[in-house]
Amino acid sequence: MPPRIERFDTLAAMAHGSVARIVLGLVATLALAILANQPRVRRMSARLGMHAVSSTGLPFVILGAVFHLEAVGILTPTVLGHLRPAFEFGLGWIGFAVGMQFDLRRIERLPKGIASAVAIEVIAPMLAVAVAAGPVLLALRVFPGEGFFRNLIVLCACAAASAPLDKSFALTGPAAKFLRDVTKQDEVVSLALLGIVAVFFRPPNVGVHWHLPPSGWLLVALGVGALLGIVAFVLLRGARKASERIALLLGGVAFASGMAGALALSVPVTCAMAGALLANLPVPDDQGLRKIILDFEGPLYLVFLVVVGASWDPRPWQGWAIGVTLMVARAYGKALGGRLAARTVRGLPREEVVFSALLPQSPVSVVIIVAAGMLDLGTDTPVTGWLVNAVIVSGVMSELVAFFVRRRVIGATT
Amino acid sequence: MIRPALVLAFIVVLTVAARSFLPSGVGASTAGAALGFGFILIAALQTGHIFHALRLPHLTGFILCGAIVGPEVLGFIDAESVAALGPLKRVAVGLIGLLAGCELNLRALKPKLRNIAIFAGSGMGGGVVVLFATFVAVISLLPATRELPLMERVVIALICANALVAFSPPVVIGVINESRARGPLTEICVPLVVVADLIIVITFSLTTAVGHGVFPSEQSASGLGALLWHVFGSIAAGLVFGTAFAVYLTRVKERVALFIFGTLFVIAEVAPVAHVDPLLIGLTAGLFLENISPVSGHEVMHETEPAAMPTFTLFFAVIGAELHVHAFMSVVKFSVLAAIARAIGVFVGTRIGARRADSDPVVGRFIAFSMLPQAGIALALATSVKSSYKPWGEAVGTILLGTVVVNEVLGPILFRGALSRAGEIPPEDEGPTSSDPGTRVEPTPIPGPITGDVRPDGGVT
Repeated sequence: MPPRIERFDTLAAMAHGSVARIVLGLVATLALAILANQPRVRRMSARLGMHAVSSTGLPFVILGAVFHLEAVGILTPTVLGHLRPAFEFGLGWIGFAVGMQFDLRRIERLPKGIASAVAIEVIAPMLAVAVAAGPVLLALRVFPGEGFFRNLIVLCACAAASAPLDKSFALTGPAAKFLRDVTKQDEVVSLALLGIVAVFFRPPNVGVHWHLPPSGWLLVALGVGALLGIVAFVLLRGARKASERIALLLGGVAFASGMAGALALSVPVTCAMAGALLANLPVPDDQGLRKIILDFEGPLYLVFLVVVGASWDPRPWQGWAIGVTLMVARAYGKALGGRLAARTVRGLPREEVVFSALLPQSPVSVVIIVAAGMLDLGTDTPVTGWLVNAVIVSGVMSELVAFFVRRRVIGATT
Repeated sequence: MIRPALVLAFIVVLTVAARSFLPSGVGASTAGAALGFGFILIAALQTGHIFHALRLPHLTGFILCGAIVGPEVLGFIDAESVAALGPLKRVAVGLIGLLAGCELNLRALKPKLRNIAIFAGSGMGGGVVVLFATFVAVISLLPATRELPLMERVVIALICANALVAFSPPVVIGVINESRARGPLTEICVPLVVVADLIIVITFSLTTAVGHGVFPSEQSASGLGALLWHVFGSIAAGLVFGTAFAVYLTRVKERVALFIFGTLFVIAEVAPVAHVDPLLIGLTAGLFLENISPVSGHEVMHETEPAAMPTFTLFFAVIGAELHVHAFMSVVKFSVLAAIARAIGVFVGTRIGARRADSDPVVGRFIAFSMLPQAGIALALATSVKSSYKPWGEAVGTILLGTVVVNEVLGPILFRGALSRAGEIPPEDEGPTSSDPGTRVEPTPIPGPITGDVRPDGGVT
């Protein structure tokens, strides 16, 4: 279910008690930040491998859920309403950042066989999830013609994406390159699948003038993505100062997000297409551009995940059932992919290293499930909420399993 | 100039095309905020370039762009989208206050304090006197106020004069940074308008207390205590947040910009409910950081530098989009009259002050121009007058808002012209800059202190 963000015209709705709670929340956040940066705490979290947890973004989802609790009352509907522009913009920025990873020149330079291994590692978990989650969806009475295929593809898209490689593996050479390429390209594949859902499973009457067949919407989506990529390119080519570059990039991505939203296209997919085009055009100082994107990505992810957490409803059991299935099937797919990839190319890391490195779920999966839910607006069904719950549950469980496997693998290596 | 004009036209065409997809009567509600944010930011930046090529301030371009594409003129951005950008605007107000405070090193200012006090007092005094006289006359002509007793008309004129004499530190800082001006006039401008605005906020609280005494209403029940809370509560909150920033900067040092913007967002959310002022909170926090805490205010400026330019561009463009163009057109003659009266008052006042001040003659000649621009605070005070006093507040408040519109648009142009005539704008910034594609991207420099040395390339343009 996409975050339900209500708008209030007046701030008077905010009770005075909330002010104190918000200030207390800020003080608590400050205290936690100071505590987390104490050398002793840092050493302890490094020893336990806890710093990897933050790469999946799940602590922020949980933080959002806690802040939204009535007893805590920090993320009130008013505050969430005011965060809405950042939320929509965040979806676009994350998509844009994923698209920027799709550099064809870089892919062409991959050593022989690595591309196939990456493809295997990306496709295997999707197939495993398709096989396992299909019967579960049917058992939950999500039938073909009622969103079965759409939801299955979305789950497969979520399964593909892995969190960035944990530094504790300390891998170098082709092994590290392989794993890093997997964690980059799997996100591109995930968004591509979301794009397919957005075009071919577009709900009717989504509030735009045009009524086109899916192939028509495919062309529109591709055209808009490419056009916005060109807009971003033209804007950035004209930037005179670094600060102007940042402003134009922010404006360009927000404009792309808004355009996609106005045309009822998928925001992250459209922005990813724009980003992918930009990544393959001769932009001046493209490394600086990538740094800007990464610098802003972290805070935007945080806001995005906190808002998702505030809208998370973990109560429906169906979400847990799908979540457990997703996690198990995804883990099996990752393990299978690692095994098949190792047979394809020599010099790759051991199966268990690949498995534990790629098991943590990327926060992009949360982006995908939320974006898919936003596309489904108007078809008021509880399934979307189950799927959001499932992806969060799967993310938490994957992280827990990866935590223990990683300790064993790293311990065995050292 | 051709390139930004073409980009602007391209963006406008795309936006119009996107909106044409929607059935009539359906707003781009879900995408409106992001589209509005992106469109207004890009359009304002391009308009700023066009204005720069015309040797006019970027800020005027941002404001005019917002006004033209906003809901009251072309309507490319609807009112709902502008409202959705409100929290960002309030964050920008807090950031403006914070950065202004961070730039004010009181120790470095000490030798100039006498001159600042003289120019602030004389400029404000001159402005208030002439505005008061003007409004006594104008109020006698308005249908909503002409039947009121003389004493009440005098109080209204006093409230109007106090509200309209407000200055605009953000615009002054913005014009200085974009023109890269430096010199004795530049050095004194920012502390002058900041200190003067602080005084105006306090005196307006007192004037409002008098006003509520003469025109009792439901809102006046809280009385002077609430107004004192507004000022001193803001200062206390500023000290608390300043301490939080200092602790974070010394103990954590990671994701500083995120913490600062997050805190400013909290301030923006809490301020309207707690009846405190985000600008005053930010200003106090900045002053605390620069002058009391072990953390340098410039560290904060450096950390927020990347996001400062888009924040300020958006702030000024949204201010433009919120301009009450139709209301302005209905009171244009009174507003222009009030703007002229204000300018005369400030100009005469500072000329008198210059005789007593021990300053560079250039400062005495041109300092009045730094006091002409108006924006956020003046708008807030005018809006407060409009909403607080019934039945005459609506008519009088509209005149005040119209006057702010005049000064908002013309003030930056006149101030930039004064900096240029004072010889404080470097020659390379006097003419239009290159718009060639592929112009080398310069790294953003670390800002320097504005009190002793204006930073060469600030984030605020």
